[in-house]
Amino acid sequence: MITHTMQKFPIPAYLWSEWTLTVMEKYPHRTKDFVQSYSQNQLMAKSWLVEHLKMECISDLDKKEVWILGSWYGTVLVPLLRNVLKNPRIHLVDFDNESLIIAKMLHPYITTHNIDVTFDLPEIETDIIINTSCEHMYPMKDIPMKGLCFYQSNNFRSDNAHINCVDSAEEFAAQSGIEKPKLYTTDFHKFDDHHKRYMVIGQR
Amino acid sequence: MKNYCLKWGSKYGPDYVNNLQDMLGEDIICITEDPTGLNCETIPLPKTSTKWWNKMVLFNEEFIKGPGVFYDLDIAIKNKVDWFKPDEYMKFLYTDWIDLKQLKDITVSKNHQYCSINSSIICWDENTKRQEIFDYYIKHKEKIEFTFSGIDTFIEHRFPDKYCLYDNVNVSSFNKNGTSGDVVLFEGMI
Repeated sequence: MITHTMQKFPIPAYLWSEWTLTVMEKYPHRTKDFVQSYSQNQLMAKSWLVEHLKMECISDLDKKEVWILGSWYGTVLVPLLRNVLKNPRIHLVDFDNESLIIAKMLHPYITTHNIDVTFDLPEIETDIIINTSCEHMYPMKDIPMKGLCFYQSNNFRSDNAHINCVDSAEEFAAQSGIEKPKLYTTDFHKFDDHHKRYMVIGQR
Repeated sequence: MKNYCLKWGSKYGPDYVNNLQDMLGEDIICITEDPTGLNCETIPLPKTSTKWWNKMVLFNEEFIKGPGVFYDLDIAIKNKVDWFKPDEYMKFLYTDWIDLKQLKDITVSKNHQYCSINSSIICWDENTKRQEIFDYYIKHKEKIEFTFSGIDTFIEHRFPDKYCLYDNVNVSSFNKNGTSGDVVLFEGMI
């Protein structure tokens, strides 16, 4: 039974329990990585973005096509988007095929694309483009795409995989390819240290 | 077959090239922008790249035409081994001195951090297909150098089906398993 309270959860926590058990069973080497995909920082970053997305798209939330670049498992973003948008068509793009196999298992209604955003992304023209992993890849301005873009990056340089950190929202905006972006900054903690996350929003 | 090495900048002086030639007991050709002090044949280093990306010139079939074996300068050759085992694609060392399963686990979903090949010694002949990788590198140089930490990760991730590996070679990494191999790699430590 799904109770009324459970139905009101924007992200169904009871599903995460099932998903985590499935990942533990079928992809045990991914368990830690998967659990990290719904950490407090991840929830904060993704819900922060979706709250702004809802404001930007409030006049028309129906049947949007959404591309999520560097999607990982889509653990948080996919359910949040399905909560605020009506009948969205969601595409996940990631170079890591196994994370997409898991994503598809968790969210059977999405479309996945196993490609490297920096090198292989075809020029997309769509309603909404999300990339919350810009610190992991080449500047977005040099990757052709058209749509309402929501990008996030950060100044957390301790992670070797973060090859493109920035130190301000303005610096991030300059590499976004968005002509007149809206800029946002927030704080987050990682390993007892204080960092900043940046978000730019605008049409390309 | 010719032996090659590459010297750029000031980190490795001419002694490293001369010592490598002595350790090999064979002539070596050094690709360099500064031939001062070298006791071997030299070729001017093209200004295609910088730093460790200079090694990409080995993939240019127009630049290095015949068969060859390349050696990094930060290696010690303890025993003579025939490294000339050319194949369809450039032949790399397999980094079996690293716990690759552990590396795979800790680099899960980390962009391009996993790497199981090493170009400290590579070989080719006139039939080895190298040019496609070089042309791709030239076309996407900026993105490649931004994204990858070096040519090993670049080739493993962008051309996973276009390299070959040495079989049954005894190579050790000074960092990981000391000096037990026929060749010891210092991997930038010296």
